[in-house]
Amino acid sequence: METLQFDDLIAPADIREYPVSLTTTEANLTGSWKFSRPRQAKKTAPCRDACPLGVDIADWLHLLVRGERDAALHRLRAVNPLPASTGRVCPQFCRRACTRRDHDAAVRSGALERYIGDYGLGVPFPVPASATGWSVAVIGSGPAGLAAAASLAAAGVAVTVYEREAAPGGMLRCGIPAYRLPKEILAREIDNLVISLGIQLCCNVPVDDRMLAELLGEHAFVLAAPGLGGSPLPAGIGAGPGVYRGLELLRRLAAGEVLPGDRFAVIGGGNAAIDAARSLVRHGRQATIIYRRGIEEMPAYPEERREALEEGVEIRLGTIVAAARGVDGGRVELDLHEALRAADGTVSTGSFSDRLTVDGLVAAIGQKASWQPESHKRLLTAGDFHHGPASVAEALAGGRRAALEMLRRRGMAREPAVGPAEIAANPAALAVLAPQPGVDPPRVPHRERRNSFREVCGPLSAEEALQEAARCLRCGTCTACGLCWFFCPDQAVVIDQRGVEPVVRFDYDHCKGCGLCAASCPRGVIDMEEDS
Amino acid sequence: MLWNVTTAEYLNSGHMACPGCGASLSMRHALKVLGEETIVVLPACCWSIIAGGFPTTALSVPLLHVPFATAAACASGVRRALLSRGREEVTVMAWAGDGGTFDIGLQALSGAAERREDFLYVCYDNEAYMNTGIQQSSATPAGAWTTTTPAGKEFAYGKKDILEILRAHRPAYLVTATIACPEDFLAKFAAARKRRGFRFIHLLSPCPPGWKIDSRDSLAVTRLAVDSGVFPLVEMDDGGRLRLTCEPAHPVPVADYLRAQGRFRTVRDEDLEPLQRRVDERLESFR
Ligand SMILES: Cc1cc2nc3c(=O)[nH]c(=O)nc-3n(C[C@H](O)[C@H](O)[C@H](O)COP(=O)(O)OP(=O)(O)OC[C@H]3O[C@@H](n4cnc5c(N)ncnc54)[C@H](O)[C@@H]3O)c2cc1C
Ligand SMILES: Cc1ncc(C[n+]2csc(CCOP(=O)(O)OP(=O)(O)O)c2C)c(N)n1
Ligand code: SF4
Ligand code: SF4
Ligand code: SF4
Ligand code: SF4
Ligand SMILES: [Mg+2]
Repeated sequence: METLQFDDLIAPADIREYPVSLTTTEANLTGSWKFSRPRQAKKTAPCRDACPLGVDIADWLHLLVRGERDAALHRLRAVNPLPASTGRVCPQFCRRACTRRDHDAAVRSGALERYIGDYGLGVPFPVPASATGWSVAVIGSGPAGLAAAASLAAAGVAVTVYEREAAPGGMLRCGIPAYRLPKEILAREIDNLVISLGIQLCCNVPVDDRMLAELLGEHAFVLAAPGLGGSPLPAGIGAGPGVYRGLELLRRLAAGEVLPGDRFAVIGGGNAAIDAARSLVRHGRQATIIYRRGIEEMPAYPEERREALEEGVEIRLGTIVAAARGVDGGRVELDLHEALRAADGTVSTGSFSDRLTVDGLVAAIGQKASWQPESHKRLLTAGDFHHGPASVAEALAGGRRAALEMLRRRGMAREPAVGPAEIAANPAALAVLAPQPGVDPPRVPHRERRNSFREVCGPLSAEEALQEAARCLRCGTCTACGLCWFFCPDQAVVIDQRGVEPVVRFDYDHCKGCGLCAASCPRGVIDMEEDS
Repeated sequence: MLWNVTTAEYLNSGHMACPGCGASLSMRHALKVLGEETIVVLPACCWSIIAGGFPTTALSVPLLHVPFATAAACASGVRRALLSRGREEVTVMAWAGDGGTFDIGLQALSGAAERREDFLYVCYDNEAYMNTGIQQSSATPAGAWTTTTPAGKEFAYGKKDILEILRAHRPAYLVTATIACPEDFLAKFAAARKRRGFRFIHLLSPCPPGWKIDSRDSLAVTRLAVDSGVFPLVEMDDGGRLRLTCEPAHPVPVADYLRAQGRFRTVRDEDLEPLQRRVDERLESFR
């Protein structure tokens, strides 16, 4: 065979009896082939985007995983002052948006929040900033009022909270039953907040228009967060013996009062209706929920619905109670009618379907504002009173927002920290990772639930909590996991871990712009952009 | 590092594979597992081009270019030369396309398997003669468009069952894998490295231009091949039976795999059901 002479490339000694390539292809700048180029960008995790409070879940979970439990607690409580409570009752908007959801199981952010919140029951809030010299009065000690008070007090504002009831908490105390949120946990959590932040709490003080005017005279701002009042009675149903309003019933049952009769009907489809039925079951009563629409349309959280059914609550759907009258022996007779659905989704009363006689009828069909103070430019509003019935997290967020608005108006502009505008989302990239579903916290079996107000859901152990927290991917933040590096066919990904946060660099001289790195990043932090 | 993959690289940047090519990525990780003491024997295929023009090379291990039909014969020779020099520890890997394996190289392949030659044969199957411009091979699946099957490959033919052909030879190791399912891929190359005797790895290897897919989707589409059961991940056990090594993680209908690719555009909806049945039966036979 003829030998080829490439003296300038290969030393003559290397030239054998056949042609041999000895230089690397790196001399080919294949980067010139590309039409688009990868770029790394920090983003907001989808859970944070979905949380009404904007809690940076990945951030505090990461501190927890690193063993910095106090730092994790304070990071979380700076935004959500009641994690032991929300960890139990929040429907976990965040969890529904979790990147892991369809891969194995969404990160159990609620159970983790409860874990760190329970730890925090004995850990005071950080010492507040030095006094600002001005003050705020807060009307209502529900989540909205407490969140506002916490943000203001932490910033050095003198806060007084006025509460009509004998104890603070709003619906956390008077609405949500103990089997979901034990009263002593709530009490300890609020005590810790109020005491360590130096908030003045005045219970048994209903604020009226006259007092409001006085408060506006004394304070820089007043926040009205009085929540909503009780449920009205539906049309066709008059007050009378055996007829109860949802919140009133919940309060009486929670106080241990024994109501006469065995069989109860509850009208409504929200949390109050389900909680009323489940509380009745716990008093050994039979409860039937009567709801106008379908099961999926019930505003009550799916988990609550499921647990109610497990506990033996009956649910009659597509049914309207058209009339109720008192009959012999203090019982109540109900006319049940079919619910007619119009094309636009509205429901009207159809033909008679059944008659039901019960010992008690509970109307739990939504709450109405019971007070309408006159507006004033230094009177701010928050919570359910401000936006209508919502959730604890939304009320907390509203309270916090109102507090930040007051600080801003007083020149202490502290814009709430928000993440980058873009939301990280690439759950498909998880397919290459082995599923790691983690464990659910224990639950009391439903047979044992029926006669007690004991908490249904148990805690995660410290070890389980750490394992669960470690399942968080930290979407939107590069963790140097290496997936983009692994899947680049051109060795054009370099993960630089010298700094505080890992940085992915691209060898644009050789990157062909295939996009596999972007497709492989489960944290969604690589974008492809047009190559100019 | 992720999955204990070494940071050492034996595939150089600047190689000539198209953006998003599965054949280049598969070689990168195959060599990371096999290590420095490996000689690659390469017949004509896309990889002859990917490897770079003389005097450059995309590999930092020795690579021999050999004629199209001769991968298994040449690998046999290299192996025997090494043995005669007492270099038993060196791994010989024949690395051929589907054309070079299912069609033109089949005779040499059968001979080497029959002689129990001690090397690893890897077929990176991109399901057509890609290097010469996408002509059908006997590995092209039913319904797929190529330049020689403009209306889609006829259903009467389908894809040749190379696994059954090799199984009949009772090789020392016989598996399927794809870099789109990396843990399974890495484990199989590690196992192949340790075995002695004739070893065969059938890789499904996405080809963006040939499959008419976006380069960015090449691995996701290949994962659909596994999740739909079209490309089961299997291993031959000691009794000579082929068994699944991974159940499809997120099962999807065959239609999802086909509809994700431009090359199956001519497949009609009514053809899907019989295809699905064929796939289901085959998948079940590996359970
Ligand atoms: C039965 C039930 C179950 C629920 N379950 C859940 C759940 O599981 N998860 C969830 O996220 N949300 C749930 N919610 C909704 C949630 O509780 C509310 O959205 C939230 O508590 C609203 O907070 P708030 O601070 O705006 O008002 P509230 O919690 O209603 O607090 C208002 C407070 O203001 C006081 N107040 C009112 N008027 C005056 C006045 N004039 N002077 C002084 N004090 C006054 C009240 O006594 C009360 O303490 C539930 C609601 C109900 C009714
Ligand atoms: C004997 C012979 N016939 C034809 C060719 C032309 N040729 C080179 S590569 C190739 C296609 C190879 O197809 P395949 O083995 O599937 O590998 P791919 O290119 O798809 O990676 C052909 C036909 C050749 N080099 N030698
Ligand atoms: S994995 Fe973590 S950061 Fe990502 S969405 Fe789930 S909880 Fe949020
Ligand atoms: S794949 Fe991993 S290493 Fe690469 S950018 Fe995403 S998080 Fe960072
Ligand atoms: S995977 Fe590699 S070649 Fe492809 S775009 Fe990313 S860096 Fe470039
Ligand atoms: S034609 Fe296909 S197999 Fe060949 S280099 Fe390009 S992508 Fe890879
Ligand atoms: Mg081919």
